[in-house]
Amino acid sequence: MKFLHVADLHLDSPLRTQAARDSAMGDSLRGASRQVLTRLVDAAVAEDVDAVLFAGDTFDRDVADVASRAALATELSRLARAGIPAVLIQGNHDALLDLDRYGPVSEALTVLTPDAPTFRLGEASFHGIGFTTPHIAESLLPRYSRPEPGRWNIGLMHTSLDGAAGHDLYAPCALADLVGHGYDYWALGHIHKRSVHEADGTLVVMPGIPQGRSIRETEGGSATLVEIDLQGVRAREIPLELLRFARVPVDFSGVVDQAGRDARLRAALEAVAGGDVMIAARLEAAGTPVELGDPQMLEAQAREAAEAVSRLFVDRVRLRPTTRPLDADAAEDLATLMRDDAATPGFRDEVLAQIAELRAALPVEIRDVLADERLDDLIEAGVETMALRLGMGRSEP
Amino acid sequence: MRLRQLDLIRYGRFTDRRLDFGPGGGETDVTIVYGANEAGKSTAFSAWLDLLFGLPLQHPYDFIHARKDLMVGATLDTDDGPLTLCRTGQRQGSLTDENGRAVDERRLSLLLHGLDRDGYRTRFSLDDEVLRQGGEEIARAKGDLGQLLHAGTSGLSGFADLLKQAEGEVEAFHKPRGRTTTLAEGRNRLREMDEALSKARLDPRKFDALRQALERAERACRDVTRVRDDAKRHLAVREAADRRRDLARRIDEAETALPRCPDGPTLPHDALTRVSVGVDAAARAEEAKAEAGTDIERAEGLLSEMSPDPEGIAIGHMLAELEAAEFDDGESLVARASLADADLGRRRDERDKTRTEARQLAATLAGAGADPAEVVLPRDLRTGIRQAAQDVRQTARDLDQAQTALEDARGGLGEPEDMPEGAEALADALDALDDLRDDPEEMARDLKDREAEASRRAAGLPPAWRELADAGLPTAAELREAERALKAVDDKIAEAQDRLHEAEEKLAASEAVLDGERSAAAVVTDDEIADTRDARERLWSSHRATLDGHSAEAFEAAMRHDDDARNRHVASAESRVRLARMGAERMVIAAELDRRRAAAKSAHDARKSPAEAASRLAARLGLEATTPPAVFGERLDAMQAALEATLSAERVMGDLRAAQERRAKAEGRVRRAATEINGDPPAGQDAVAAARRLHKELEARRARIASRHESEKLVRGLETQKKAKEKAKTDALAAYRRLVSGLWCAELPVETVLGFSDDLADLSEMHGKARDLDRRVSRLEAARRAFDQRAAKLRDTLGLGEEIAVDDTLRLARGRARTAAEVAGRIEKAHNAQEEAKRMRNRQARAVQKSAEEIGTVFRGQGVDPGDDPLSALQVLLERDRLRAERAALEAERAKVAEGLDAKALAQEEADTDPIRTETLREAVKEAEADREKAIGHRGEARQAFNAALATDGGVDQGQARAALLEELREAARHAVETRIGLLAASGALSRLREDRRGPMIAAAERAFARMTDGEWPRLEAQPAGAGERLVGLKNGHPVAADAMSTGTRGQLYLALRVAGHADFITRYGALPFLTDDILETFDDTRAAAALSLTAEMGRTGQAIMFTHHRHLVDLGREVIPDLHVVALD
Repeated sequence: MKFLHVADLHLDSPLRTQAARDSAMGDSLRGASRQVLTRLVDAAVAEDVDAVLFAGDTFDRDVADVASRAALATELSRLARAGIPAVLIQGNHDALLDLDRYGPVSEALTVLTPDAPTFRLGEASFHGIGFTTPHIAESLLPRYSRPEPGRWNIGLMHTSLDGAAGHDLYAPCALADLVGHGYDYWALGHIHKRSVHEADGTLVVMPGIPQGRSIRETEGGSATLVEIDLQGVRAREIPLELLRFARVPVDFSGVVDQAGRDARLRAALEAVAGGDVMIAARLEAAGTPVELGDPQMLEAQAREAAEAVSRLFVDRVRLRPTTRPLDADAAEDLATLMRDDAATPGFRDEVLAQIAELRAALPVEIRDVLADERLDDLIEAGVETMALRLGMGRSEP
Repeated sequence: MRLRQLDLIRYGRFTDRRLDFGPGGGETDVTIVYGANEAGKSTAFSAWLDLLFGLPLQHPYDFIHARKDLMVGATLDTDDGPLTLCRTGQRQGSLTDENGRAVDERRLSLLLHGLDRDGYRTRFSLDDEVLRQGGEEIARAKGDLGQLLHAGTSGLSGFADLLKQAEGEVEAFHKPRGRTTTLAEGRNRLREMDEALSKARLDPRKFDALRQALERAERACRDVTRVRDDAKRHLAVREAADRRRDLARRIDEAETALPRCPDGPTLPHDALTRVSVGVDAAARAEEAKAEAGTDIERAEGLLSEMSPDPEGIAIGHMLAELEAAEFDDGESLVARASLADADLGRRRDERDKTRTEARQLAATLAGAGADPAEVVLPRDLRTGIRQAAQDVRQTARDLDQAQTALEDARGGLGEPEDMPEGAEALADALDALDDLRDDPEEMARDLKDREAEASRRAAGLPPAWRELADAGLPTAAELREAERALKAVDDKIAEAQDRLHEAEEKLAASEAVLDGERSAAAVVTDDEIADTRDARERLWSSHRATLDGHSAEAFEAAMRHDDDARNRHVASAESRVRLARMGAERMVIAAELDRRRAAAKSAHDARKSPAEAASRLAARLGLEATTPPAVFGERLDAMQAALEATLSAERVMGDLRAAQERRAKAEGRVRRAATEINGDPPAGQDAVAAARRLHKELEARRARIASRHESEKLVRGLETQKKAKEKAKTDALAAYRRLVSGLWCAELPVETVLGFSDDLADLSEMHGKARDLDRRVSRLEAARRAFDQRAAKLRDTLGLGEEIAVDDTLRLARGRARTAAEVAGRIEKAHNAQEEAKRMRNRQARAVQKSAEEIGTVFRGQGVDPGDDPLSALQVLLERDRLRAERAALEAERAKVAEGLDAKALAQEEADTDPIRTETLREAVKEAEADREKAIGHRGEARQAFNAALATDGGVDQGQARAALLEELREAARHAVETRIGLLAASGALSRLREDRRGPMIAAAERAFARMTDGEWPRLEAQPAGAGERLVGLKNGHPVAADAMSTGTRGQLYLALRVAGHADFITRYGALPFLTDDILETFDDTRAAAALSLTAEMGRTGQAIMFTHHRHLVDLGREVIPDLHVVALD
């Protein structure tokens, strides 16, 4: 038996990157999550799977755009024409979504709910309990059916598993408990980073988000193709993503001029490019102030270098300046004094007061960039970036 | 270096004047040179600079002694002893020693540590102007001293601009109440995007509303359509009723009119056409019949008036035959006969005239009675004779010219000359001399420079450096390898030593812990138990053997000791294990220590080889064996530079000698060559010049000899040409004789025959023309005879004689024939017309009859007779038939109007004759239509909105654009905050850095300035000023720029800067004399005393010389400067 497992599609959720404002990239990425959905169906048809499993958060919101529903319905109808059923549970993002508001979405779709937790297809039984409220604090595992003897038992669950960094706790569930439940395969969702666990003949897969939406989502980009037979359970990735976010470290040590920086930039960018997937690169530039040069110039050079690399765009450039031994250079002395000053409580208090006003002026969605818990990072970056600028200001005639 | 004596030998107003600054060596080395105004202080000041750096071309002190005679000398104390120098105004070698030998300028340059005139003036030789200008530059961080002064804070000034720029960036992103900031514009854009997103997003509630609106619109549309249809139906019935009433009325009118019409069947549909055609045809036939009768009468009249001419017709036939007759050559008889009548007389006259002219010309050429036919020459012969005659004429002319040229050339030959022996040898010798490219004088100067350079390069090297260099210097790679190897083993030794110390410390720590553990816990080991047990067993055996009290006590004590040990053994099991582990660890550490000791020793041993290698390299470089390899490279560079300079000088020396030898050899060769020619050898350079003059004369003679050779060749060529011309003339004359031989002109001269050339051509032309005219006259006469024979019968018929001209005969015959033919034609035409008119009259009579029969057929059976006006009678019948058809059509239409309508309703409406009912119903339909249009519009709008919503992608694109904008703002906000934090940190750090980084020179200047101003200006600071920096003094806490200070204070500040610069220079390079010229003029006594005190301090580390005309400064100096030396300049 063969089926395709995907989760956290977050249909029509936008990509959070400045690179999307690039006209060429923007055109390519129009409706990225819809294109990924289309690729998913293409893959299902090409692989001739028996079913496609959606393990929660198919939609990004409880009140989904009707156009988004229509997009899903369109692709599910393609599955229906190919004779491939789809099995879906709802996650925390689309827990309250009324999928049947306009009648059944597709004849191919089966939604597993607490009232109808099992769907049987051939020799397999698919068990799942979707979210019915946006937040479920307890494990849903006790409410899952016992494995049906003589059949392949596949569980669909939207869970934060043992608790993952960066994700709130939703229907937490211990991995050992899942393994011990007796199913052959657990099709999980919720965590956007892919992970695979195997124990006692049970395969537990968190497929990750099929299309990362920001630099924080770099470890997904695929669906999972699962095969179950008497040889056991096997899984492999089916790439779906259009765009991959990538952190690209660039070491500028020993570089003395713009030509050298350009060479390092090009080498680093070419190293991550290639393939059919577009890359939104966040450059993390490391070097001394002299090696990094003027930050704005460096960013301009990076974007220029990216122009020469096919299907690659620079999302942003982050500076990771390395300090150098104290010498008589005025800029370095100034930087040292700045660092000393920045470490004092008084300085922190003054910074807090100054950024409070700016934070209040920001749109609500991005105020987190100036959150108090990021103060240390901001201070460090602010001091080091200014030190960089002062260093370059002195070196230029 | 210090100045011991300054000798003004010939300089300005001075002659042989010496200024002695003493031997120095006191507590201070300060000299005040005192002299009244115009005593020559500034002159002496200038002389010192000229000694050091040479005399300028435009010299201000050459008013007594000319510049070329100016001379200044000095005795300097140097590290190598006293050095006496003399400077003159010569262009080269102006610096000499006391014996007049040239001294290399670089020697003085070394003593001055590379300072040039401006550098020395700025730092060590100050008058008021230099002090002021230089001070301003220093205060503005210009020049070397300025950069030194601002070294500490240099670079900070640019930060202010950068920080200001950064502040601008922060404000560009956001500032309170800013409307054009990035953030404000971004928020506005977000609001716009939110609105667009709201519109674009197909929310289910919005979707439901759209769908419901569409359904409502469709229902409304259906309702109004139904109302509209009802109204239209009522209106249709009403309009049908109205129509039927109108049709009924018109039917009644038709039925009323019909009884007044004649009876009879309805006419055929083409009745009117047939009758009209019949009436028209009858009328036209009557008219044509009348015209035919008229034509018959007109033809009979014409025939009676005309009679035919048969003889005229016969003349026509004869004329035709005559005109058709032709000669054998195809030309018409009539045409040629007519031409003969016209031309024959004129041609005969022309022929006779031409014959006469030809005879006259022939007589002119060949004599009286000459026959033109015999005189005339054929064209080719005539042309050949003319060409041959011309050739004879041309060859004669060429011969005359050749004779003249030969005579001229013979007259132009000069006297013959010869070249002396040895001229070529002299030319070669001079060429060889001129080919020498080397300039020995230039090479000698170059050699001198290179020797000085080599000497300078070798300064500081050991005496045996050249031997070492010749023995072979190590390569840089060898040095680097030695340094690397030694450093590598040193690093390994250090590392091994560190690891050894680490192991020793670990062992000590381990032992300390072990000792502590041992001392802290009464640990009993297995060995101790074995020992106590052995002792117990041994004493037990002893006791059993003795069984005395003493052994019993001993055994008891041993037993107790053993028991105690066992108890403690059990109790200390854990400690024992710990101790055992510690012991084991200690052993491991001890073993490690041993290994590390061995490794350290091995590392030390390994140093021996690279150290020896380094020592060997040091020896090859002339360095001590213990010299660290780090300085090898510097020594190698110095030795290589010295070697290179020395070798270069040696190469130049060799080149110079070779060049001198080559030149001497070449000049000797020139002298020998000249002597061989004229036997009078000149000496020295004059010999070469004389040889060059001799060579020039010989070259002129060579040119003359060559020119005469060329002239002789020319004469020989002209003689050959003359012979050829003579032969050509003879050949041309023979050819001419052959052509005229046997002709009437054979005996005539060539030039005469050439003169007859045109007349011969004219005679030939006249002779041909006369023969042509003879042929023409004969042919015309034959034509006239032929015509007379053929036209004899015609002339008889016409009654004409032979004397009648050809053209007249023809004209009369043609007139008679043409008239006869015209009459015959008109008679035939009139007869034909008469016959045609008769046939026409018969046809028209039949047509009239047929028309009457057709009309009768139409009227058959009708109650009306056609009579004379069948059309009027037919109109009555046609009106009757129209009424009948109208009635039938109206009845049919009335029935058709009722089709499909409710008969009952229609009947009611027909019965209802309300005049406004129809209009009322029509208005109702209009209103219903308007309502329906509106409803359709609403439905269309609703459907369009619904379809548009369905057709979009929802808010995907807008959502993406919004997310991207938010990311931009997020990044920009982060950048702005980071920049603001950086600004906050940088602004505080910058002020602290300024304080921390005050350079040593500014501190020294500050001390000097404070001292000279008695503490009134306690502090100096460098502050940003525009793109650079400026120096400010702080007075009462307020910064004051130098240019805002009083003149005296500013002078003190500038002097303080020089004092600091002097101290800095001496510290780094060594002492040089520091000279000032009346710079304390603007100082009050207190500050002057302070300045003199500072001068005393300068005199402790170097030599200070003050020129002044103020007596009180001398006195003041004596008070504050120990060991002051005073020189009076009177």
